[in-house]
Amino acid sequence: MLHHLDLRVLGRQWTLDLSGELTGYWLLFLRLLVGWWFLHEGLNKYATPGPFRAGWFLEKTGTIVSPVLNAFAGGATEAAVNVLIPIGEVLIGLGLILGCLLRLASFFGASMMFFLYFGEESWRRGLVNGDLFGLVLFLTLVVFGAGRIWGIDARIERTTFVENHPWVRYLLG
Amino acid sequence: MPTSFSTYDRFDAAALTIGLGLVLVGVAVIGFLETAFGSLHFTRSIDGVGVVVVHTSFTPHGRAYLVAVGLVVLFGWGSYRICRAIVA
Repeated sequence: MLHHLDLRVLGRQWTLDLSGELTGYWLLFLRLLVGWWFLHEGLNKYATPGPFRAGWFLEKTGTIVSPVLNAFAGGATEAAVNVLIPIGEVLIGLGLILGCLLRLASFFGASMMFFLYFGEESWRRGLVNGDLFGLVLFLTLVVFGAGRIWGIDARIERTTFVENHPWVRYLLG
Repeated sequence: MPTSFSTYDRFDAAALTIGLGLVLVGVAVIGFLETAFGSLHFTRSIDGVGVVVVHTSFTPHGRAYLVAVGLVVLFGWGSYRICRAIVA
């Protein structure tokens, strides 16, 4: 079904004809693809012999996010990051694949990609690189959601809690 | 979603324009200027030295700050939308 949308962008009125079905298929595809990417990244860290260590990244200097990264370097905070990154990647991947708390999972995915992208010292691959597109993919999922399509968010949105607290939908698909 | 979720006023439009605009300026606009008047790439291979970072008119760090500020504006706007929905 084609949906006719009237919208105002940069002060001017525009129209957009959007196919609901195509949008649904594409967002489901995007969700599963990005979900598998992060699930695989997380599982891979568990499968690799030896514990995952993020110290090399947290100790980076000369990046625009170094002050934040360095604040977590060493001690208990680094140990926490070493645990949180693999488990976070697995949870983000599962959230996207299952369509559960989709916007929240995508937000955390975007946050991780933010630090990966801006944690670049010399930008040898340029400003337009794979990390930027990973970040943009997560933000696209934050914007469009789509956790309802073959996803658990469809059920969560029908619960009394969400009906009584409609703002929770910002965390769902 | 309730109407309040899809209502966009001038503040929302300004936040989206500034946030997305800064990202586009940092990546695309300065990237075009760099390509047209500076260097296509940040790095260059020099015999005996290896790959070195080429500093042209616009430093990658300056551009990265612009992009980061744009994303922070979008994050702030998103947080504001959630807070507004909670209060409503």
